[in-house]
Amino acid sequence: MALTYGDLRALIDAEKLGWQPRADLPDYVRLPLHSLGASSDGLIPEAQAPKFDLNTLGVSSNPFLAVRRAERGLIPAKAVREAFPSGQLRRLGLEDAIEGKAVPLPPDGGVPPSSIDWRNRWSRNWITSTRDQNPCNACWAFAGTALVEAMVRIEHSMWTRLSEGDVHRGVGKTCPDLGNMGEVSTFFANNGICDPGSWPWRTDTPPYAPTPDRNGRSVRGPAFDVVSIANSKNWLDTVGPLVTWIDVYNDFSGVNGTVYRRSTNPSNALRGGHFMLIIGYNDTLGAWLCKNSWGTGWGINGVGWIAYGQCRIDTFGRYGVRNTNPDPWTKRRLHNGNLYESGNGALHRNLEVAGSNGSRVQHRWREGSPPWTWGVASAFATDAAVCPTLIGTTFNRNMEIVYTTTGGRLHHWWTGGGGSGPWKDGGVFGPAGCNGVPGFVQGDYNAPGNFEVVVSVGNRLQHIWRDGGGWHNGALFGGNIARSGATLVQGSYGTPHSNLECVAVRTDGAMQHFWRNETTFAWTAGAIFGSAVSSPPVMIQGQYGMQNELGPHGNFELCVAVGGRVQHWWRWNSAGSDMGWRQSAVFGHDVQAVAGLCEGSWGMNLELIVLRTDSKLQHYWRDGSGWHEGAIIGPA
Amino acid sequence: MTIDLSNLPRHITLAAGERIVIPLPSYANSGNIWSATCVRGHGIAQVSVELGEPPVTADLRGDGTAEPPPLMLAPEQAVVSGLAGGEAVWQLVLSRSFGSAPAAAAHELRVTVTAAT
Repeated sequence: MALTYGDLRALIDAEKLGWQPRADLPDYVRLPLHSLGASSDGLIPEAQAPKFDLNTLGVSSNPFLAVRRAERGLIPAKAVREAFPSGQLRRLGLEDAIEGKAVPLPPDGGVPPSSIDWRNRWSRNWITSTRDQNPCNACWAFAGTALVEAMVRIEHSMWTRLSEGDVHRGVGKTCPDLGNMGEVSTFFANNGICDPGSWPWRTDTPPYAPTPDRNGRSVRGPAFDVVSIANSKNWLDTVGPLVTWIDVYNDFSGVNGTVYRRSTNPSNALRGGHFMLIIGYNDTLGAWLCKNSWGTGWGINGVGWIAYGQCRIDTFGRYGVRNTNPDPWTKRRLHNGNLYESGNGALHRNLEVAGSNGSRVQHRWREGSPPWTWGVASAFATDAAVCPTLIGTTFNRNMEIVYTTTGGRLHHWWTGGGGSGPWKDGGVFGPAGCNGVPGFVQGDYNAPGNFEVVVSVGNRLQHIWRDGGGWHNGALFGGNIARSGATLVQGSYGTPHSNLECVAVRTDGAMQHFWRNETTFAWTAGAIFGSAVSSPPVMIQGQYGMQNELGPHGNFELCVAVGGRVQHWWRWNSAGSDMGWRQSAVFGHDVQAVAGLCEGSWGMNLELIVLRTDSKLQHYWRDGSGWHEGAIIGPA
Repeated sequence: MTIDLSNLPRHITLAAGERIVIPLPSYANSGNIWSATCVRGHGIAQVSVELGEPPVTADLRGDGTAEPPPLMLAPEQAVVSGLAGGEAVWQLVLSRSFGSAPAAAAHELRVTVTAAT
């Protein structure tokens, strides 16, 4: 609708907006549209905007949200019980909520709670850190990226750091340019959003040139949902945050801890439109809780309360997203050994397992939703002496394995495109005399990142890496080593590259922690812990202890078989930690070795694969109520 | 240089009583707004930062379901008025009124005012 100055004057009077157009412009003149680069391409006409039905949400992988949806009558309680063990629901205080709504299950009338704050919902933070678009007109890129980051955390229980610059330059914009959420949505649906290591946020305008492995290090997902104002609280209650429009006036810079209401003083001029992420609301305050992208100096640490209805915040549809699909780079520290949670499956949380019967490798997988049955995929190779170490890589989300061969060397295989293709022989490499399970990661040297391997050779450990020039034998380190395990992690310590960390079993039956300092490239022998260990351990750096994607450092989690059972060890890495290793649970039976460990999407559970004494693989998992014995998957 | 100010004049000449408008690039979406400060030559010229036409959109009354319109910003402009003969120096600064970030950009403008004829 084209407005005339007469229309505008009437609106100004009606809404007491506090300014006047120039008096010399007659009422019949149409208003010019000022735009600095924003394109209407990608905008969906109102009539075509999809109408979203909350009843189609299904079960969330987040147990809190799953129960919340059941409480709201959006899904049956039975579906929640099938998706989560009762022990976990009980531990989280959710079982009563489910039982109370079980029969009958009256919808609560679609009434959302009176307040929500995703920074502290169910005693957890789900929102990534405040960013700063300064000085660029890039709120749209920042709001869209913040939305995707939050939904990865909510849907997959993991922190990710994505690049606003990827969206900004990816759609061809420069610092002065404006954009719109339709562009972000389309870009995300077509390309995903990569991490800053592939293409960072920057305020200058070099040609957009992300690293060649961008496709394999991008969180993916569908186009954004358009959510009506009327449905916003329902969405915030049962799905997650929303991107909103707001008009920015002069006094918006002064948002502080109180609820912002625009001054109607005529000097308080309208500056233009803006996008932010709504991360909650409070009916008592009568306000939306908004995460801005103007740094931590705005509002309270970058977040402010905006009164309902202010500055057209409740005028236009909002944007949400569901069914995000995190990338291997986001997950790189969260799995080790023969277990990997891939992005495959309808919910992008399939478990992938590679076993060995002493010669061939068997790839198996489990769909990330009920009925939790394990499927058999490819079998390949004839020389695998141990269960392979399986990773997802930024080579287009390949799955890749390395194992120690029956001939005492190392063998690499890979399958492309998320594991959908056949496994391809990457060749035998490494020194002779390898005698343990290899640690295998993709590190952050180069892009795509080098492969790093640590394996026991004789009574020492050897570092081997692959760059564009092939595999290279590196330093020997440690002493009195009985065997290596799938414990190699490029953790969060160290800068600009992160340290390599691993744990090996010593000849005296204890385990020892080693790390490589990235400044000196020197391997340092660390703490010795445990006893009577005669099988290879598996270690990850999980995200327990992290307040957001910035840290503090997540804990190391290690599992190892001792005396036919599994010992769980962990090192608290947060500030103030004594860096000591602690043993927690002992569980399981008939365990020959721990083969794989993963901190997965299902409510921050730990998932574990063991090799049983009958040479079968078995699944265990830990939730808030402890460790549970799962299915026997089949022969290794 | 993130913010390109090469289009802004460094020196302008105008007569006393005359008024010149210089468009400024707007970065209000990032919380930065322009301000003007006299560095030298008080009383010779006056420079103020004003907004041009208010930003408007094709649909000022969304119904709460449709997507928002394209973002727009109110154009900012420096209005230079000649007061008396002489030379003055003004600094135009693009900055935020909150936080501790340094000014996003600054531009020095030399203003020569000729006596009114």
